[in-house]
Amino acid sequence: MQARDKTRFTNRGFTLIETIIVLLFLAMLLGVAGFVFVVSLRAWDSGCIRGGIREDTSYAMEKVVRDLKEMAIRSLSQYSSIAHTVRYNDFAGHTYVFYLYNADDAALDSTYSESLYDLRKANITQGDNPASGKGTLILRDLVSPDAAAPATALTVSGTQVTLDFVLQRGSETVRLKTKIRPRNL
Amino acid sequence: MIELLIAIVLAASGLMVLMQLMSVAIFADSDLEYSLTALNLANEKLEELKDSDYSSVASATESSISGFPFVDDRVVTVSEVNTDLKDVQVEVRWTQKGGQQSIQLRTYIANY
Repeated sequence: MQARDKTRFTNRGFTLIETIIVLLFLAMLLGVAGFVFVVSLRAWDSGCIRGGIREDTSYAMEKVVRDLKEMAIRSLSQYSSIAHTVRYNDFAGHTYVFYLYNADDAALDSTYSESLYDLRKANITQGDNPASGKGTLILRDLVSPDAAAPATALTVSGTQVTLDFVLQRGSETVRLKTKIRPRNL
Repeated sequence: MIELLIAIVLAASGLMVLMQLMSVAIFADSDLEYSLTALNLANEKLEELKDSDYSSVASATESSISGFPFVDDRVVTVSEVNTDLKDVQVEVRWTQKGGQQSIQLRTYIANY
């Protein structure tokens, strides 16, 4: 009888209070972990979007910089005096234009009233008309240079071109800026 | 009771390590963004200098760059190699994780 009682006391389980305290600790721990996890996921999401913007913008900058470095002598100008366009010739005698385009804009002019624009490259010699958005798409989701003061998108000033791209996707905005002095001026 | 508490402490320390890993991955991404932006800004300065008169290529410091508030400063250091050749270094600096980070570009500009 005594032996059976001893066994009953030494192998006793947890009391209700102990179990509740441990469960409370566990719940707190999981709560904190869950909160941090959700915050991290959000940060991860925004990181992915920003990463995508960076990749695309770097590609576009590299493309524009390379093309302008290899352009023909003294061929740098704006296209038809329109702001945020760059016109140049290559050594094969072709004329190209980098320009901003949004299909909802009535015509290509110096007013950029839409919120987002594409950067495109038209081969004028082959008949690409910038006013109808012809040419190669280089970059999407550029914030309008009119809205994004002091961003200047594409600016020709003397022998220097400024690339100042502000891109917006969802709630993420990334800005990259550089300048290029074409080598054959 | 004590066994369960020890188990919870172990689980908590395991989770902490995992969270630290996640934050490292996330911050690595923003490190990259700052370096890329700074590299472009350094390149911008070099191109400006290449476009200016040889005589006006000189050491200078900009204490801020409009539109890029994370940048501490942009420093141009010029030393004359000989009468018609300048060694130009552009350094863009910013503060991150409590320490100063920087990126440097260096080139020669000739008086031709």
